[in-house]
Amino acid sequence: MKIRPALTAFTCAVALALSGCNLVGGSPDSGDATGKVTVTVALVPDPPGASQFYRQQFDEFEKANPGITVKVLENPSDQQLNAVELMFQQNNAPDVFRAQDDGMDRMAARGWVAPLDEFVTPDFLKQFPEGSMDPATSGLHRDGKLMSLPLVWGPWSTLRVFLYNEDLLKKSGFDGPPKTWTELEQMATKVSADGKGKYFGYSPTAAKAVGVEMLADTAVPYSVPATGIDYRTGKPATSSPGLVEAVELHRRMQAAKVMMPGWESWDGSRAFKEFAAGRLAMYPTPPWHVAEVRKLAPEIKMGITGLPVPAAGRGAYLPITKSFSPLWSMSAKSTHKAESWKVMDFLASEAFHNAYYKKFGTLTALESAWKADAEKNPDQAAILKVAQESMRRAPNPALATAGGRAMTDALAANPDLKHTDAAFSSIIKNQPFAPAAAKLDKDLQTYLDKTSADLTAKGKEASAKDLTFSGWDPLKDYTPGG
Amino acid sequence: MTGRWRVVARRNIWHLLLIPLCLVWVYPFVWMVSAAFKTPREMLIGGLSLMPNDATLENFRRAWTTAKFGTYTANTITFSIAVVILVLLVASTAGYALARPGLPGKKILVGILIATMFIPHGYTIIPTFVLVNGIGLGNGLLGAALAQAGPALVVPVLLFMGFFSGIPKELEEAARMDGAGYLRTYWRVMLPLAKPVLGTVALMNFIGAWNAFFIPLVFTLGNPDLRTLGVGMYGFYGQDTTDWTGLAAAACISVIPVVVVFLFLQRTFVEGIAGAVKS
Repeated sequence: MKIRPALTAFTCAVALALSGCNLVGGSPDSGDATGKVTVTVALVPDPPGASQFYRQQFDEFEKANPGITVKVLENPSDQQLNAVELMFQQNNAPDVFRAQDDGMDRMAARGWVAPLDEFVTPDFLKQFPEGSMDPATSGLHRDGKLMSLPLVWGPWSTLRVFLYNEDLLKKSGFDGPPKTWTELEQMATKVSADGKGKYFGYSPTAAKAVGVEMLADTAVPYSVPATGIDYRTGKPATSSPGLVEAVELHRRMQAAKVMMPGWESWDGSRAFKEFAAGRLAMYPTPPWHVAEVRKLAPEIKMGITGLPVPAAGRGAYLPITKSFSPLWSMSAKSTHKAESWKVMDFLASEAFHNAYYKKFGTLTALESAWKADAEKNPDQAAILKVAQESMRRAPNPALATAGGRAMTDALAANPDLKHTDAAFSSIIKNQPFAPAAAKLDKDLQTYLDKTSADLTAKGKEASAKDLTFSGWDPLKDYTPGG
Repeated sequence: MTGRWRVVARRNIWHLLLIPLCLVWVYPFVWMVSAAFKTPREMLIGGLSLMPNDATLENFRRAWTTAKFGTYTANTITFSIAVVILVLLVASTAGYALARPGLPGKKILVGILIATMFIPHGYTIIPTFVLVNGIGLGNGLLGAALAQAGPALVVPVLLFMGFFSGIPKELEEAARMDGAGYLRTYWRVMLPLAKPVLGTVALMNFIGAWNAFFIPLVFTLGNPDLRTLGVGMYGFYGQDTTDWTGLAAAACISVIPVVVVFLFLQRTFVEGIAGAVKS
């Protein structure tokens, strides 16, 4: 075969010309010839379809603010923090960026997050539900300074609901969902038997022991499944009867082949696909699955209710540990802070939140933007009802003291001491969980003592005391400092 | 049964056994193409059927415009061509130099080259990034192409070296007698002879660069407008959910051009490999 140099050269030239100066690149722009200021916003195009939405919204913003151009940089969600970090290191930082939850702390620790207090007005704060912007509980403040603005409704991150397929339950003679763990086991067993392999009664939401954690949150203080520590005492409590029974319940159902096969390898979105396809009758889940099920199977008779509780009665409520999760931050290196704030103000406006709610059905941080509409939507009304009935404010050591943050960070850095792996192993190998839990408690105590000693040696005051809220009743709302 | 019929029957039995295997082999690819025309509902809960009930081009529209696959395709072409040019330029000259019999330290050089093949990209990415940034190419595709082309050079250098070593010494001597210098001999005499290797190396590296993920990912993290198709696919993964049908359409956009290029150039590829092995 002959290679034609002229044709090859022409093809190369056309191809290279296609992407213009991208080959060698250019310097980042922060303004243009018309004197407009460019504000760069690094975001995640999530959920799918958000790219177009954000561009439309920023076009509206630009119309209302003729002196500002918004340049959007999009990154996949699991690369966002790396990308933003890299941009800071290259002195090419975005003015506004999305850094969720711990991501904001990661950025703030490097001095890249600007406090927003100088821009915030009382009118701005009034938009948020009453008391939610209190530095002690907002989740957005660090050392009393406002470091981030939220997008999503506060309870969303810790709310869990129980979904059930009314038709499949009816086929097995059940009129409603299980109220207790005992009923759940009985009903799931019957439905799986009736399904004869075509459909199943129950499954955890995903691999590992996510389902265990969700159910255990109705039996023991949330901190036990989350960290292994009971925040009422500051002591390890993995072997609490409520957590052990949640594991044993799953172990029994797995051994009896009641749970849907293959759940051991599911990712976080598999359960809603199986449920939408009519192959799964019941499962506990984060609330975002509701909208995903509706997208795939609008006709399905889906019931949404609270999680079943232990037969002996509820031992705890699902926690509201902070009013909001951090999301939008301003760069400490921005040279256009006033303009960047205008963009952030827009991202926290009722108009933007209402548009976001209408586009994605997400309940956002500004309840006033969607509450009336959500109450008319049966699925969302059910989610709000479950939240009201099954959630209570709970203590959060990370917001309470610096020592509490250091201790919770240390616990998060050692996930092997959580119940997750041991519980999962117990379920799939059909072995009792209690001995493994007792060992975990011992190891946790050793780790707590060592962490406390290490932190003290570094001049930081941190101990199990920072994880202790002795007056807290997990069946009541917690009042910080109260 | 006559001997001829026995051969035909035996061949057909083999075909009967192999056809289902081929179908199993290509099924995932065909399913991906079919999924690109399905709705999310049909893809996720509609089973394994290959024929879409309600075929749609919406996924391609979304991938091309919303997910910017138009821009990413142009970037990928630029990036891949830049990688191919860099590899051909460096590998052919290095291979030519290394093929010369009297080169001092040749064995050590070849040994070092081969040893570098075993260093994973992950270990060298930070110094590479710092180096490319340091020479001011951190904000363009050329920097990424340099980073991609560097570690990709070893096999091409060895291919060129093997090929040039097999060319009779008399040919070079004749060129020199005619007044050609070192560079002219390489450019006018040796390189045209190496067309099969040039084709093979170009094709191998074009496909490699087109499908590259790690290097373009790292080099475009701070500048998403430079993303290539391989990295752009990542954008379909959301925090909680994934746009699977958009991803399938994007995969078609990414894969089909390179399959077409390969089909057109496969003869060159085979000739090049065969030639290099023979020489």
